[in-house]
Amino acid sequence: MIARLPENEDARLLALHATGLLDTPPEPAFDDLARLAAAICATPIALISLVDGHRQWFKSRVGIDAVETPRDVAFCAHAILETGTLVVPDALEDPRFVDNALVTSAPRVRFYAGAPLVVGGHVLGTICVLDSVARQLTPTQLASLDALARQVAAQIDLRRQAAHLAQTNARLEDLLANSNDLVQSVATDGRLLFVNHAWRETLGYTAAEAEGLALRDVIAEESLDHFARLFMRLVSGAPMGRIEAVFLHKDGQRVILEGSAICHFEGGIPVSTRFIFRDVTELRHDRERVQRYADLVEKMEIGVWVWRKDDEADPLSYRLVGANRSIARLLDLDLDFKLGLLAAEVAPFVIEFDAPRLWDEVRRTGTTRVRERFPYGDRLFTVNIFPLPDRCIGVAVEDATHRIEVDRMKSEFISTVSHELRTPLTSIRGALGLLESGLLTPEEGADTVRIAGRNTDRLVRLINDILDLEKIESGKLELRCSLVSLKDVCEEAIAGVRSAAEDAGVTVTLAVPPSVGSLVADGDRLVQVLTNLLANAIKFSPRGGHVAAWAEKIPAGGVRISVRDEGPGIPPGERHKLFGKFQQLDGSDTRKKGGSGLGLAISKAIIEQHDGTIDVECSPESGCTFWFDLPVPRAPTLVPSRGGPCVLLVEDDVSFREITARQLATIGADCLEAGTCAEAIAIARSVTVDLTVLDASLPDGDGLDVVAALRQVGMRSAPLLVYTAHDLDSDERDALALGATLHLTKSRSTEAELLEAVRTLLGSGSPAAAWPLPR
Amino acid sequence: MGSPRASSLRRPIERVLLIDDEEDIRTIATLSLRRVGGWTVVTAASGPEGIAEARRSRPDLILVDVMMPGCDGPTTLGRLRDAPETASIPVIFITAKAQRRELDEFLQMGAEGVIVKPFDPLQLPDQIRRILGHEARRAG
Repeated sequence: MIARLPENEDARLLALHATGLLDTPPEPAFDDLARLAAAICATPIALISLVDGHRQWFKSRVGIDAVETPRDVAFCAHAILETGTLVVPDALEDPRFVDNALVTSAPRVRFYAGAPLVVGGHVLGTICVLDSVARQLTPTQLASLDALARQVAAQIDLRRQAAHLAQTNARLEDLLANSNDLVQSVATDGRLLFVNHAWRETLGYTAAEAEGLALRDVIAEESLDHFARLFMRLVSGAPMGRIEAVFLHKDGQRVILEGSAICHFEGGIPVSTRFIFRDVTELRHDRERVQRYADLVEKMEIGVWVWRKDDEADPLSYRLVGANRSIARLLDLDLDFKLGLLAAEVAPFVIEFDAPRLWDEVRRTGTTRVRERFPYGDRLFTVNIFPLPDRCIGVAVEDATHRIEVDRMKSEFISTVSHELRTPLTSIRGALGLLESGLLTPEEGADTVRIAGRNTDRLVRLINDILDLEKIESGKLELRCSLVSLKDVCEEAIAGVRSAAEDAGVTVTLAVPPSVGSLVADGDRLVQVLTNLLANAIKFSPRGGHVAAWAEKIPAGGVRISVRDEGPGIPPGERHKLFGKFQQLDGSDTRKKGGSGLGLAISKAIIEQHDGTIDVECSPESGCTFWFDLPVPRAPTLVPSRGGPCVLLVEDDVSFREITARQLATIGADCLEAGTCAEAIAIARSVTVDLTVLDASLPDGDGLDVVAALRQVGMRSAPLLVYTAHDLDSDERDALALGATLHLTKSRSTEAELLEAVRTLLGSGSPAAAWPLPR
Repeated sequence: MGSPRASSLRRPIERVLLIDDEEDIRTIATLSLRRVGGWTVVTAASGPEGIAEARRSRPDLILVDVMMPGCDGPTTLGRLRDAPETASIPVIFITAKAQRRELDEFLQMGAEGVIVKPFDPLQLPDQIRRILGHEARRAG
């Protein structure tokens, strides 16, 4: 009778094959057990039989030569169906085996006992004993056979596990060797015990070159410390450490690796550390790049936001997926708006402006759209809408209000300048044409020539003013400051407008009290400003009128110069326009009077460059008073005006100062005068002087203060001439000294001695040594 | 620079009103219109003065400077058009503003044309005739 198949036959066969035992050579471990079975059971035959699909194969056999038999005749095929040992005392008495070929012919089996080999829940075969006579096993023999069956099963399982382990190991080794990650094993002395293919590939070494390398050969200097600290952590018991370090490629290039390390211990002693790294060089560079772009986007003035459309079927389903600070600032939105909100939630006006439709179009066509002069609030914006991947669009918003205003002003300025130039040109061109035609009477001809001349002057004035203004506006106006007498400035300006005043029948008076004195300024430019104010006042005064100019000290320190006319006055609302370019309040008047419309703009720029202010006060009764204030002391861009050595003369006695200044002038020196410590210090802070001539006693301090201040402004080694009312002792002399220093006593020094001392000192200092002084 | 309206204006010019706040330009233009054009010229130094003069002397043509203080050229044109007695007198702007955009704006205001300063005094009358659609007289 053929045995039925076990219920789990397929799985059982898989398990059997997985053992890898079938058709392997005999092994002593199994043979010993088979022999023991035969000996214990006192049978001539003992087998370890594995029941395969169509056969039983004997891993071990005692007493027969066959290595396998068909499964159909196998007693074991029946035995594997049992839960315990199958015992057949007499096969001739058992209907399952009575006609079995092994029973009816050689080896004529009469007795069989087979204990199942259970491995991993499957009965893979049996250990069995056979005899050619009918018989029984004692309970001890049966128990022994069971025990042997367990031993065989254990042997099979052991081999199965070993095979599995070997397979796993092979896979792991393969993984390690061929991994994309970089693997290295480092001995405690820093030698590299193992590096894998990826490691060698990334760092540029062949397998042979990698032999004998130490960790320090491949690590950048700055990362050595990282490794040292990591080793310390691992050795003191940390299960794993993470590290990012800079390695050096064989050719010297820096490679950034990031990974983890574990330490191997043997008997509690660390023997090696294994690292698994990833090459993150590109990643780090990418991250830096991305970070740079992110910073850029965050910091730029242009507002940016990115919208993604959630649902193509819903036209309003644009959600905010990115935005910078500027967009919130420009569009006056809550700075903390959340990403992920719908357009309608973040900025309802986006929907009002029908933007989603435009965004759809940009995504569909893939082309950027620009909207110029887009009005929002009280501003004008330039809006760029550009397609982005993943159903997104980007919107860049730039506040163009200022640029548009500048463009408009530029255009207006060009238009105005064109107008202002063409107007006198029209008269000149016309006059020349008519003169050439010969159509004019002699009187008309003479008039026409006068017109041409007048308008030529006007054109020249206009062009000069435009160039002046351009120079001022582009910051190229350089003041040539020196100590100037305000009385001189005022008198020069009045002399310049004298004939215009006479023509207009206007008297001009000037009052400059001596207390006003001098200040550091660009004298020519002050004359220009004052001339302009006087000319305006004369122009707008009626015939027989009076223009008054005066200078006065102002309480805040400094000087005010004022010009009052008897003109019609200026409406308060119009006054702010006065100092603008071509901002005549009444174009006809200005043009009739021959102004360019730029004079006050230029004056304002000049005064402001002097740190001063200019303004106008008007009353209907008394006309207009234009005034400007100049602070003293000041000297922002002081330059010696005559090209000689620059001497700072500090002296509170005005007459003595004037005499000394004159003497210094005779040897070609430029004098900057100060009457107080404060003035001296202010000048010294803004001008590098070649020599300081210092009176040691001043109204607001003494010479020591000035010397201390000069030291502070970098003049520690500058030449100094100190003159004092009394003789100084050596301590005083030491205190009152800079670089080369001479001390004179006022009462005992002659002018010649003073000049000689000045010459000596100017010849001693390094920069001043270059001055060729007349003797 | 002419306008479609010009073709309907065939009336020969005898009297021209010139409105310009620049005295020198008035002098030069007057000489040109008188000596070269052979026309009678009356002048005004401002818009209001010009409007009053136009009502009084009913010129055949009015030349108006665009940039004048107070009542500028376009304002003057508007007032001339508003008054029945001056509404049909052709007006030509003369201007020192010469940007293309500006000239287009002036034409749209209803002037027959625009003459740009500086002009050639010997060509000015012909320039006017061309604008008005009159045959230009050959010089010489």
